[in-house]
Amino acid sequence: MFLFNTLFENVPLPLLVTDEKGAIIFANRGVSRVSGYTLEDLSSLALSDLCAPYERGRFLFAHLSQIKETTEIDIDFQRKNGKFFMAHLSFSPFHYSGRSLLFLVLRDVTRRRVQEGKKREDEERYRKLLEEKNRLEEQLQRSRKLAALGELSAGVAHEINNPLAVITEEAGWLQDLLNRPEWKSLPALADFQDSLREILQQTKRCREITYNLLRLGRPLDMQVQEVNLRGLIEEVVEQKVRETQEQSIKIQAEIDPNLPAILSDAILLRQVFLNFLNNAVDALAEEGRITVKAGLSPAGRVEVAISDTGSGIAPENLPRIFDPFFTTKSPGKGTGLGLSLSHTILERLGGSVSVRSRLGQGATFTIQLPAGEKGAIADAPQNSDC
Amino acid sequence: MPPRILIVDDEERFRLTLSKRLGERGLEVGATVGTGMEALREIREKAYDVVVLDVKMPGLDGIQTLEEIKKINPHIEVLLLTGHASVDAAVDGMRLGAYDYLMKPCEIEVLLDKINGAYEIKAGREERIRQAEMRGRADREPA
Ligand SMILES: Nc1ncnc2c1ncn2[C@@H]1O[C@H](COP(=O)(O)OP(=O)(O)OP(=O)(O)O)[C@@H](O)[C@H]1O
Ligand SMILES: [Mg+2]
Repeated sequence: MFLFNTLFENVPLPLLVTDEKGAIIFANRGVSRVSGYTLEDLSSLALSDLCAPYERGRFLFAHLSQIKETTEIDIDFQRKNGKFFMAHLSFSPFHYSGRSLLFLVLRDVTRRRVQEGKKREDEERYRKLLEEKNRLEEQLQRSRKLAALGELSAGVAHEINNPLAVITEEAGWLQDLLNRPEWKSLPALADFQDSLREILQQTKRCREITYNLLRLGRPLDMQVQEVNLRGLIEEVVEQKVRETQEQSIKIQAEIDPNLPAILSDAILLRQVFLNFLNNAVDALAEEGRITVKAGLSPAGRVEVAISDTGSGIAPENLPRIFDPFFTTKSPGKGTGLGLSLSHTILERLGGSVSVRSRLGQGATFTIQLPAGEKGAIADAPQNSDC
Repeated sequence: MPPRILIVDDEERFRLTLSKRLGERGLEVGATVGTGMEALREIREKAYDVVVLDVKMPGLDGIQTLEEIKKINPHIEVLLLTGHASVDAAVDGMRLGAYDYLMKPCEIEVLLDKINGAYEIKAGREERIRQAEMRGRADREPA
């Protein structure tokens, strides 16, 4: 018995014996150490006295006698000096001399809990980072794909441009010939002329396409200067309002009065805004609402969100809308270059674009631009070929 | 006297048809050639007023050809023809003394205007030089 007493008292683990009401019958030095109470203090205390005040009303303390098998709980303790610590407590019921008693093992788990808490925070932070990373990754992927496609299309566009120039000259030459006096009496002269005009018209259309394509893959001529974004947005919105007068489309701009002027290229930005607005108008068909919101993001970047209440984008199309030539519009209505070009332009301007949409519930394109710092805009690489 | 024109473009049909169309408008296209080297030979051998020069050509490109032309005869005016993506190159060309640049395909009337503009400049300059020379001669003659 002596051996067990000595063991009980000196083992470094805090051990307690209480009666079925929780009154402490024995407590060892370990309990004294973690709680700050002397062994003498402890002999007159109840288990609940060691707990944090808010833990004392626990259901378990009122029903200790009903513990029939080993039970473990996490509970906050309060030291004699008032400091709290987190404990893991295991209760084992036993009988001795006809009395029901509880054998308790107490472990201070504060450090572990803190670490776990940290881990949770870390995990949360990590999850956020991962999300951010995925978003960036997505944009990077998109940029890479666009760069590769852009290069290819620029090559193709360039190759097509020369034959286009030849076609234009040949058709022009035929026009010249038809203008000679000796051809004046040619039967169906008007038909010839009309047909030639159409050929020239269509080569012009091709030329516009190759023009956009070339701009995808090649450095743009940038004119970086101070841009009054508010003025620019208002102007573009007004233009669209005029163009959609016939339809029941409401377009409004909500611009943060604190929006700073930015260093950018007004002409390119204008084209970008028009591309997004054109798409929004197309998505609305005949009626709906378009909102252009401009302000500062929490990170201090300039943010312009263009939302519409239109058709929205099918989830399977979402990853493809920035691809050159991806379009859901009929030929003549869209070539599928608007978004890829806008993406490329924004990137060159040090900005980015992201999209949120649900089919049938409209779409929001959010543009971010650097707010003023000059270095943010990538220097366009030089090129000298045609 | 209409300007004597040289067209330099590696696309044969383009330069031939362009030359016919300019001819139709009363201009005298002296020759059309397909490379920068041929262009330089033409210029050394014959008198030209305006060169219509494609920027993108295999071998000596338009910009290099322009530099060489200006070395052989700085008075010849050069009009650069560019595809879309070579606007940067064309702007470089302006710095090297090209008269102007045009995007391909171009409107024949626009090209015509630019050729005439280039020629007027060249003719005006030659006239001033001639007068200066005459004054110089007059100065040297005893009173
Ligand atoms: N606001 C929007 N709402 C619904 N779908 C959209 C919206 N914006 C873009 N899209 C979808 O993305 C596709 C690609 O858009 P993009 O602007 O690149 O080309 P396009 O509008 O079809 O043709 P282009 O702009 O060359 O005239 C569109 O065809 C459409 O399916
Ligand atoms: Mg579009």
